[in-house]
Amino acid sequence: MLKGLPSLLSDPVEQQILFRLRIPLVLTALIVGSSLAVSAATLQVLLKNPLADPGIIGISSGASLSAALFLLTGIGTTNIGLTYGLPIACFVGALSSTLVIYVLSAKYNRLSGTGVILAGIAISTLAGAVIAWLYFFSDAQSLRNLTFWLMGSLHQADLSLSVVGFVISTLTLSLTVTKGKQLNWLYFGNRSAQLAGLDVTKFFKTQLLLCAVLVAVAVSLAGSIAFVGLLVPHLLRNLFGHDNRFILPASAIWGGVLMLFVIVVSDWFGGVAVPVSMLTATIGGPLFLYSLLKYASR
Amino acid sequence: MLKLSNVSVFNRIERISVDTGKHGFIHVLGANGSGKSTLLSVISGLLKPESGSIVINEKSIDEYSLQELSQFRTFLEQSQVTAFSLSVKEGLAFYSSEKLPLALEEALEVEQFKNSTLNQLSGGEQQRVHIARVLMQIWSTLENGQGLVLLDEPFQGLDIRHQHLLCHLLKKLSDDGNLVIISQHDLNLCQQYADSVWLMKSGQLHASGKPLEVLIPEQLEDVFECKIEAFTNDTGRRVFATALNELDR
Repeated sequence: MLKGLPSLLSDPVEQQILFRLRIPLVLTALIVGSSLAVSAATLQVLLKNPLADPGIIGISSGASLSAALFLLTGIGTTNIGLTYGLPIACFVGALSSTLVIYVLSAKYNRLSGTGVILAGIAISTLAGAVIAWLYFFSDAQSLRNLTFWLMGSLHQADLSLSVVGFVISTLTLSLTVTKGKQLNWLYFGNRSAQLAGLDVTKFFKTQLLLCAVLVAVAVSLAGSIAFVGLLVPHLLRNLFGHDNRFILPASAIWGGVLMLFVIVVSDWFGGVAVPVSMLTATIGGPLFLYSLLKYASR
Repeated sequence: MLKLSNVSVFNRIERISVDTGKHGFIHVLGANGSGKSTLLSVISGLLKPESGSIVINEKSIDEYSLQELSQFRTFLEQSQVTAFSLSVKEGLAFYSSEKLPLALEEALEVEQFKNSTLNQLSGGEQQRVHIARVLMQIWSTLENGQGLVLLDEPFQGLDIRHQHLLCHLLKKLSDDGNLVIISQHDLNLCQQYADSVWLMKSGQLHASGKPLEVLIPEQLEDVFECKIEAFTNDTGRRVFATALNELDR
């Protein structure tokens, strides 16, 4: 990727490739990998469910729904619309679905992991239904756009967008990866954390919101990318234990590394744009299986 | 150290007033659902009573922040579950940066489980780890004799030897100046170790005082609705025998 760096700076074509393609691609990969992995690692402990992941709790389905509305209703037919309108729509969608989930779960049972997950499933199902109906009434080109988006791609963001995303996610990450100590208290439930001196209500709200921002940035830049969130923290916990003071920063790093690896693999296919979810599942599936088997034998 | 005045929680406990000394080992007895856990929750600060006041060290409990309370108060609740396969070492380390104190290891003997997964241990073994965890949380305060220890049924799953080891530890901690309040169901352990007894019935404090004053068979029979007799054994210690009714003996 970086070979021949000196010649890049003199050759205008190479320069264009670097700034228009390579840098946005690498930034997007890092943002997506770190954000999804860290938000999943946080959500799993926050909701006391090792299977929690942004997809399962419905944050990303909110983003998918607004992407579908955007692409299939024909608003997003212009280039500008696709480049900037779509990410903004997704960002808003992800945050609003979090809000809805929070309000629903607060009605069900404040701060309970089950409440958030059930509300998330309800929202996902509803979003899925609306998307299916939109499919039903849409033309072929919009359908292709949506299908492509739903499978995820690291090539959508341009330089300015990926830099903005990078700044937002770095700031948000700095507020989440530093909360390992407090998250550790939550392993034995909200009350244990409260006894250890944590204002659980406030912490729960803040961290849920920060996770939503992370997922929103990732989803709006690269579409819906499966599995990274579930895989990375799970693998790290099985290998290195449960201390979130380590797991959170490590998730940020290894999430990013995993997505860079996805870029390398997709490079093997030359010019063909391979859907990212296909690759993350291909790489992630066996890794996940390995970690399950390793755990089973322990 | 602790003063409760007319503390009530709807449907759970009713107008409880009690005053403890500076330190001591208090056993809370009572039938299931008589309000023992609610009472401990209220004292811990986790549950706000609907009415009445709780004063700890001359200061209302409402004036303490969660952070301040966590420095000197610790509370073992009845159920401690986690969906994650934490190791014993992790479970202990997450709530305290200190090493397992010798006194705790001598009473609870958890060092041997350090590398096991918590969920793989037996119920009693898990209970010992959780007791170690909550005591470690405020250990430096306990060493200075300034702690408030609340344990809800700590003997759950513990074998007889560990019940006594734990009682010795808690007695020592209370003699050192800490206030230790536990709920439990064993009249003999209560007689043997408690400095005072709170006897609960239907959400109310039925009686309180020294074991000799409170553990009177007629009163216990009334509270527990079964047959209870007290004997003095050869060594002069009072022991209790219980049965469902006369015929069962």
